[in-house]
Amino acid sequence: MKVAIASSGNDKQALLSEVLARSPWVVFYDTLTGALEFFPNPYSHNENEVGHEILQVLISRNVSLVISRRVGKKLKQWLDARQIQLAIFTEHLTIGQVLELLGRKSSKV
Amino acid sequence: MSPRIKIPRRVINAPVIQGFIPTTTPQEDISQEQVIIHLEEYEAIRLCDYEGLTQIEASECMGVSRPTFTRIYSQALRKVATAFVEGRPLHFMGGAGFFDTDWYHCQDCGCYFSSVTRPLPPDECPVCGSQQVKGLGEQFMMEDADNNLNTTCPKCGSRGSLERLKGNRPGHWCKKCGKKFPSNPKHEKL
Ligand SMILES: [Zn+2]
Ligand SMILES: [Zn+2]
Repeated sequence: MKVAIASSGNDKQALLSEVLARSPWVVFYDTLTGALEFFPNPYSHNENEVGHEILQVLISRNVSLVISRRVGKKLKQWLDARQIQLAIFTEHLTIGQVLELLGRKSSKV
Repeated sequence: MSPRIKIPRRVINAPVIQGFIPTTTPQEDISQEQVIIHLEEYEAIRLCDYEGLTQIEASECMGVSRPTFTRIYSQALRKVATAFVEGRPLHFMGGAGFFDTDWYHCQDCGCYFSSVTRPLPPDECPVCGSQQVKGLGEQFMMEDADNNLNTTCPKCGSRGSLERLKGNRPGHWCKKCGKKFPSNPKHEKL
C-alpha cells in the first residue's frame, strides 16, 4: 500500500501537518517495500481549497491512504470518489510515530 | 495487507426504500421468503431500465467491465422475476457498492479514518491494522457550510449531543453518554 503523509518538515522528527494540500512536505511511504520519500510540496502556497495539483501527484503515485490532521468535506468527497482512504490524527504525532504505527500493520501480515 | 479480491462497485443512488412486500404475504413470512437484491444489482436495473442507458454506458457508470455488468444485470432481473412469480418479498441489501464513506475510529492508534469498503464495515484500521474499530457515521469530522463543526460524540457516536462544559471551563460533554472531553477533539478545526 502506498501512503501519503502531510508533513511539516523533511525528517522523521517533523510533525504531522494540518492539511495535505498546504503542507510543506509530503511523505510518500510504501508499506510493502519500505521505500520512504520526503517530497517538497511545490503547491503548498496555493490558495486553492482542495489542492488539485498535489492530488494529481497522489494519483500518479497510486496512493491509497492519506494521513493528516484535518480534512474538509470537499477533499473527503474527492478522495472517496477515487477510493483513497483518509486517516486523521487529532494529536500532534511526528512522522516517525506515524511510520511506526504503519509498521505495526505490515508486521502483522 | 490482506488481498481484497472483491472490488467495490460504484453505486451513486441508494434505493429510496428498503424493499417490497407482496400484498398477500402475512407479516410473519416476510423474513423467511425474501429475495435479496444487492445494491449493485439495484443500480444495474436503475441505470438500464429507469435511466435508459445502454449496457455499455451503465457499465462505465458503475466502473465495471461490460461482461461483469451483464452478469450483475441478468442476476438482478432474475431476482426480480423470482419475487414476482413466486410472490416473495424483495429486500435491498449489502452488495459491494459504496457511497460517500462513513468515518471510523481506531481504538488502538487513535486515528479517525474513512472506509472504502462501504456498505461493509472495514475489518481493520488502515494505519495500524488493529481490528478495534468503531463506526461514527458519515458526517463525523466534517465541516459544515458555515465552517462550524457539527458535534458528533467520539465515544458513543450520537449526533448533535455535544455541549459546552458548564461554567467557563474549556471543553465539551456528551448529553447522551455523559463523557467529558476537556480538550475537545472537535474544538479545533479539522
Ligand atoms: Zn489504528
Ligand atoms: Zn456520547
